[in-house]
Amino acid sequence: VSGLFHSILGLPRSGKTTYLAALWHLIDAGEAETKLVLDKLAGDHAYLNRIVEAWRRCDEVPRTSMGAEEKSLSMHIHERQSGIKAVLAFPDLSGESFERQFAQRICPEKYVRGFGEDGGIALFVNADRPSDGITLLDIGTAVGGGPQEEPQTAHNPSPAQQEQAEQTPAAEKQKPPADAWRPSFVPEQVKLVDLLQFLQMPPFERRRRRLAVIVSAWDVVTPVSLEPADWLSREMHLLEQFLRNNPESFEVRVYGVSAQGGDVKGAAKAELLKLSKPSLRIRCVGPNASPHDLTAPLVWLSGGD
Amino acid sequence: MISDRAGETYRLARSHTEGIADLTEIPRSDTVVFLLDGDRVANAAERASAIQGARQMLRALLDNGSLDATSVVQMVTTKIDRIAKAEDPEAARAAVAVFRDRAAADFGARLGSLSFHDIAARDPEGLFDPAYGMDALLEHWMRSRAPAPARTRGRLEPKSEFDLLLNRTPAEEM
Repeated sequence: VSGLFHSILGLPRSGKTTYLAALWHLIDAGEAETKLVLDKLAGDHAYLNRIVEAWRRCDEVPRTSMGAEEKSLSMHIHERQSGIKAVLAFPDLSGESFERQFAQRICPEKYVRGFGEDGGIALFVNADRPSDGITLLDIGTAVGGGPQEEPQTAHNPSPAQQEQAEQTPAAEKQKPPADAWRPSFVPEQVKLVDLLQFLQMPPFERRRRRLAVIVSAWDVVTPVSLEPADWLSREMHLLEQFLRNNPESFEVRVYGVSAQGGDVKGAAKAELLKLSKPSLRIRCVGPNASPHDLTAPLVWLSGGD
Repeated sequence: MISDRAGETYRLARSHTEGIADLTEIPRSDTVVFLLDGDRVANAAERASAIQGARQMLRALLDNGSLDATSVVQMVTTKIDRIAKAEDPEAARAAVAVFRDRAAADFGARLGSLSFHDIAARDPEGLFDPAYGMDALLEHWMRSRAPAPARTRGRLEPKSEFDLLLNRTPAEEM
């Protein structure tokens, strides 16, 4: 039995805990065809059992807060085809931990140790939230003059802004603006690239790692025929370009995952609850993935496929 | 003799499997009966948790050596009157049928026997007779059977001089 420790990265509400809950149900219940199955139930599963209860009720899975982070979660699995056994371990770090790492440049020692173990990285992004980054192309459209027209900035004020600035009393000019820059203003994909760049320098061991980008809430993505890799290059250009241009650090695959199967806050909940096999709610799209098999990314991260 | 514990004890044991060794009555039982709460099965939101809780308990006892190929296990769905009066009784029955098929396929070969039963102990509306299904269970429990072969005693992790003495003592002298 080998031990594999897969690190999980993702900002708050990126779908990490919901994925773990659905994964636990999937391999425990044995209702759907999966590449990995639960080999034995041994150890402490209290946290997994707690989050899976919410998943089974089609409730929102409670987020992991910084105070409630688990040491690590482990699952004794075997590969259905080969029979190879392994213990998969994951940290369940809160998204706020990654926000703090980005803003304060610190991280727990166990996080560093985790990247020294055999295993890959699951990087979570959520397809169901508005883009928080503005590109030059977006600004060009917004000002209506196309990208050749210079955007209005503090260094290049419009005539109206100049006039207002002249009329503002000096004391007021010295006050910091109400919307002073904060690390939380940084777009998600910039933070993610920064978190990945940490892994390319000490104290992290620099080596090539398998990295599965898991796009959660895949059920909201249109068109439905879109491939997850194409979604990444359409929606997160910076992250996609960074991963593409750092092949010495990352071997990348992209998966689309709907762990809940739909919007559990809406009318879909009643329909999802009617399914005789809750595992059929799950959707997974990506290389060598069967329709309901959330284990496909883990098989690849574990060195398979 | 019938042994029972608080449901919370079993719930804790399946979440922390080290606790299963403390459920000393399980390996000694002639029959181990798992109760699947029909009231929760009737409720669409609770159904999957009720079913998977029963399945996980069975697996936890098997994977941690409390049940084995000599064990006689009965999976009993209780309060089937509630299922009959559920908002969607067919969906509830289909979910139970899927659970039974999977349990038989996944665990049946690892047990001496695995059977499934329905009971309605007290249907307030009288749709089912009082103690519906209980007669078959009782008849099964009373049936005499050949004793299961004695299990080999596992060696204890010695924590005291008494444990060391026990480990030095041959099993036949016990």
